Amino acid sequence: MTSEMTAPALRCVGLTALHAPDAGVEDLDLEVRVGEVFGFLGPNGAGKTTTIRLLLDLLRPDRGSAEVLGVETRAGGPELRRRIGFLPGDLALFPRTTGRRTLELFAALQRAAPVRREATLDRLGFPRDALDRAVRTYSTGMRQMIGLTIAFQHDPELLVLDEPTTGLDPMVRDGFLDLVREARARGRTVFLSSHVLTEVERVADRVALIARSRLRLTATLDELRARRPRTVTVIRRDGTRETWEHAGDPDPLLRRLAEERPLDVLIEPATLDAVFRAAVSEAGP
Amino acid sequence: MTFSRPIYRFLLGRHFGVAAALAAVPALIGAVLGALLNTHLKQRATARTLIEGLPVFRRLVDDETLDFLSTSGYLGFVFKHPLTFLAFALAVGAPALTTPAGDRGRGALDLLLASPVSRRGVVRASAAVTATCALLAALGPFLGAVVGALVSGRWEEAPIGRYAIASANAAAFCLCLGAVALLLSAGAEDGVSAARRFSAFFLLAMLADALSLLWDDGAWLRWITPGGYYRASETIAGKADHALHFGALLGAALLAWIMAERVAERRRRA
Repeated sequence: MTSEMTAPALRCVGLTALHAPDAGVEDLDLEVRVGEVFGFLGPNGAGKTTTIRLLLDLLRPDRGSAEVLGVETRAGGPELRRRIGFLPGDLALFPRTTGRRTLELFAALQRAAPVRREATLDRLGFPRDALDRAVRTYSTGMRQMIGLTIAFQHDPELLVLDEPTTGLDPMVRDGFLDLVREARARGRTVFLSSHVLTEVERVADRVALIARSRLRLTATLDELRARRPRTVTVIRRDGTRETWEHAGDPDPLLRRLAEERPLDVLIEPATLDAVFRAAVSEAGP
Repeated sequence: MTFSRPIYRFLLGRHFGVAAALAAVPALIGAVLGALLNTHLKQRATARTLIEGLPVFRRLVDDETLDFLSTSGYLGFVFKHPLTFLAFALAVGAPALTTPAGDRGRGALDLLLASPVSRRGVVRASAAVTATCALLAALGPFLGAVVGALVSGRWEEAPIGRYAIASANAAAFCLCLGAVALLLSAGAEDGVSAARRFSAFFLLAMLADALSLLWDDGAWLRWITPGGYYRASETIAGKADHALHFGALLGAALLAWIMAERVAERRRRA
């Protein structure tokens, strides 16, 4: 078994780019396993896009290293990038080129049959008659759909998607999330950068949170929720109510509720949003 | 494989139309010159007096090397017309400055470079497109001279073979300009800053070339600009040092291409 076969899909160690054009990253240690959907979260300007650019050798680090699919990013070159599908956060296509020509150009560059093109366009509900129009006539959402199709069409081993739902309406977002689930079912790895937490929550196996250029936490969604307190409200039989926060092991909470025998209990689930806000607050202003 | 054919074809599709339209500019100038040629030759004596009386014009059209009012000199003016120089600069500047600098500035380069193509591959594809546009642009004045000869009915007197060599010299000049534009593009953050630098380079080079013709003590200036090695009058008059002119222009172009690749490869940001 080669090291490439056993290696994680993505790994970076001490990755640092302090003078990046958008936002820097500092001492980033990250590992994404093969076959998982990994949510990379953070507020605007936290360093998500910079991290992605470093992973794809679109930006060279000050120090540290990055490996993608078991290969050092810079050394991997074009052969490595054949195995990756990428959607940039600030997607810029060629305005005078038609959607069809754009997809054909990238299929030719990817040097692989666009086996998932039709399925991707179907899932996203892209109007086929629009494919022969120039990209400049497209709405933001339609351009994003073309960008997603470029990333998915050759069924790459790794999908790196930076803010993939920008400009998409709720129906298309659902279609996109289906695409991500289907990719995972085929054993593909998806690295999903977003600040739309509710979407990441729906598909991600694990998440990492970056704020102020540093990685703040990495966890599964369940681990993450368990860390945060739930708001528990008890309505007693005498009409009084009490609210408190509970975190961690649920057993003590269940015992207490059993003893009190309340009329009603409200437990508000800890959303990823709450976790996100707490972690960002801890990172400071 | 560091040369990307799909990118070459795509970029050529983006720029071929503009380059062809720019090549038509000297062809049209040639047609106009052809239409005026007989009129001017009839008034040769008057025109000669005018030229003699305007030493600045005489030097700028290099009348000492090639009689401006001869058929070959008059039709050959299409190779030296200011609009021809402008067409050359635009034809090679557009593709070289658009990729990589223009595409980098608006974010499209990231998408290209995240696909299986290297930075060097993109620069090479852009260089190849620039070279194709250079050849197309250089064909313009040749077509102009041929059209002019046909329109004027003086085909027999037109040195078509020498025009062809002058056109090849123009191609080498355009290749050199395009390579410089590509080098500036490889290092610039966006198309606007690359275009500014290229415009400054082009204007200074043209100014130095003009000065070398007008200023007696500044003749050496011609040797430091690409224009100094694009000598249409000398070529048409049969007095050109082809080895020096072609060697300098193609050598400088090659050097600039190599440097452009290195600059692109060494950039922190793709």
